[in-house]
Amino acid sequence: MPATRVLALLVVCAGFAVPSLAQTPPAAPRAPSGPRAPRVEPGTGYRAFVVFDHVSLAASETFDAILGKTSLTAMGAGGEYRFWKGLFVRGAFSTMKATGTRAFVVQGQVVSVGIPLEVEIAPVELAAGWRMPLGRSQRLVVYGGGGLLSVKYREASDFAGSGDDTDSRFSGRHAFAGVDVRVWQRVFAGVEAQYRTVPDALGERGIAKEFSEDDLGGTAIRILVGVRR
Amino acid sequence: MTMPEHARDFRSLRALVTLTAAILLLAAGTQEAEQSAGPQTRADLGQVPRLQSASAGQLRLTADRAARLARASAEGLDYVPGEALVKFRAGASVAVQAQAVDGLARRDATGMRWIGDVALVTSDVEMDARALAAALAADPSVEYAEPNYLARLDPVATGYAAPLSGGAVPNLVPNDPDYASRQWNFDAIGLPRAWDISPGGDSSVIVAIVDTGVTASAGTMTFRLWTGSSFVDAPIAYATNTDLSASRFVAPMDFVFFDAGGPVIDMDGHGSHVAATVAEDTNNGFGLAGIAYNVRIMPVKVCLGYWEFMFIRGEDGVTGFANPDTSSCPFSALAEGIRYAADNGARIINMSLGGTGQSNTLRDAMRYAIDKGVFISMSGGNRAETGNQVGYPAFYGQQFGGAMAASSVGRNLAKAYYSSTGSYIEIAAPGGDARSGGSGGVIWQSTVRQPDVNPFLTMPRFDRYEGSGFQGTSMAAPHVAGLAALLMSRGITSPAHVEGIITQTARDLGASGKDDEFGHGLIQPRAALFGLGIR
Repeated sequence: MPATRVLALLVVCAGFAVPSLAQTPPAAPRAPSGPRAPRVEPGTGYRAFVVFDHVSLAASETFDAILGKTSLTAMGAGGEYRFWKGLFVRGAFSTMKATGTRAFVVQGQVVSVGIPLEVEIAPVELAAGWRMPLGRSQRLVVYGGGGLLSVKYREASDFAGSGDDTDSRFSGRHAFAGVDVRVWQRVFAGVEAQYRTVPDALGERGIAKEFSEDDLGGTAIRILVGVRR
Repeated sequence: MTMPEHARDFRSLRALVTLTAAILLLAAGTQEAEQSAGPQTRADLGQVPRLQSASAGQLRLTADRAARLARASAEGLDYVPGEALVKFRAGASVAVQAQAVDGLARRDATGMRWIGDVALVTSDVEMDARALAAALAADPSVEYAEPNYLARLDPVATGYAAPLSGGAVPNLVPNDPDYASRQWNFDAIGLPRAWDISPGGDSSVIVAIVDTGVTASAGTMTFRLWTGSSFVDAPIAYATNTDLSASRFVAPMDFVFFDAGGPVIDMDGHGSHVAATVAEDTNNGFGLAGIAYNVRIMPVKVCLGYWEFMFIRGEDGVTGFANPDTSSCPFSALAEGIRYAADNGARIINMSLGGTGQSNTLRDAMRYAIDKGVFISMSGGNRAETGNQVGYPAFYGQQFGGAMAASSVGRNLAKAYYSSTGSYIEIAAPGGDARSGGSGGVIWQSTVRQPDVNPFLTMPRFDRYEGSGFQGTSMAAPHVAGLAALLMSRGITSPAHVEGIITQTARDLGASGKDDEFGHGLIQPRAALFGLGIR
């Protein structure tokens, strides 16, 4: 398992673990020290943010053969609306591009034919989730959720003829968990882990077919920076 | 080419013997020259004035060997009478090797010559090469011994010919004037779209044409020829193909007719036609097109035809005419040619020929070349209607990643009627089918003008070229070789990878999957060059 996936898994686990710990009673009795912190963010609110994703692609052999790497970096933006007791809806988009060369797999070896290929993957996320502040100051908030993906996939090569290039959109699902912290007044930063699956997107006739890989999803580590209100 | 040290020692001994024999022969030749003013023997041929190539070497083909080959042709033998190829076990000392041959010498073995690590042993008495090989194989120091088998060109003649046209066709790529009207075969495999990616390949890639030769220089040589009633000293002109630039030839070599230093001359037209399919000048507003028109060609002559035999008969004073259907490509020459090509920079070898004898020597030579990074394309054979015997070296293609045997399709993309079938057929390519397509269904390329080399002439010439329609798996193989040249021009260096790519991208024909008629299917150059994307 690649290190990034392990890290992602740890973050996901941490994301789910932290609320559990938050609900665990303290081991030793403590003196009352003021009003108890609410476990949900009160009222409504919104967040707007930009994202930087490091995406480890599920079709790792395929992308490694063509691009020489199994992960991509994406940039995007999104917004959330918190409407009731920490529940929120989210919309976000991101885009990642890379270039490689077309190739064959012969006797288990990847053989490049030297023709440049550009690939662009642009997921649009629609999701719902729940946020829960930690601590009295409520500067730290953990959250989790899941939703749908609509992924634009574009692949273009030099010398391509009719039908050689791809520009299609595929559907999938994703789940996420993260934590953010207020860093200054309304400005926050956060880290999030995502698991995405977009089945039956690959493997039609390209090198993905050679590797029997059809999922355009993967795992992502996301850095968010934004404002909230 | 490296040779075991013990073999070199042994060769030194033989060189001494050969030198002595040469001195004796020279003395005998001088005596003969005093008796006759005209050139009568092959020794005299070197003294015949040559207008172009004064330094041309002696003939490699001896009257004795020509007689053996003529006998093979007359008796339908698949080997050279009295010749065997022997490989000694690793570690066999010079003395042990000499003992093995000496044992044979008591049965009149007369000569031995090294081809790589294999010795060509000749006997003047034991003409049954199988018996000769069996006698040698009985020696414990011998790893294997086998007859020196023969390959033949098995041409399927069509007689279709037309002058090459001049004048570029505007707004057409390629602009060769005979392309659109004649070369259906290139459109059938989508070659114009492949040229978008790899326009003619790269001059760094060398394709060896192991065949009847491809004339690599121009000049005139005088040969003594029987005309039906007398001998005449005939000036025979030869020249390079008018639609294949002489500057694109590299390291030509003749392993059957002229010795090293002599010219390479295609006296048949087969080799020139095959070379033209691979690499005929293209987009030059003249004649026809070739697949990899920027690569360089290494002419390697390993086959003898009617005119070579007529010349040697004339030089030896033998009256009468040779068998017009004679074509002989000794496996010993094939093995030498393959090793020579591999040692001199060829990246691809095309062998449009085949025999019916299994040969370890040939297989070892192929392995040697492939190990040096050479891809080998071979004709699958034209024996579908004559017994469909397994052909060699085609059969060995399936044993190597990096060698392929091609079957032939006609214009309708059906298997050509003559194209051999078998599990060793790995790929299909256009080879033409006159039966289903007439003159429009054969493979047109420029080659030596066929009426000029017709066996029924009294005096040939090898300096005029025209478009000729041929058919055969001989024509299919150079399509595969041309594609391999385009792939290697794009940086694919491994012969096994070239084969894998050609196989993967073939268009399945006939029964689903690999079959005995088409192998993996019809070559698709554009798909092979374009590669696979992600999705």
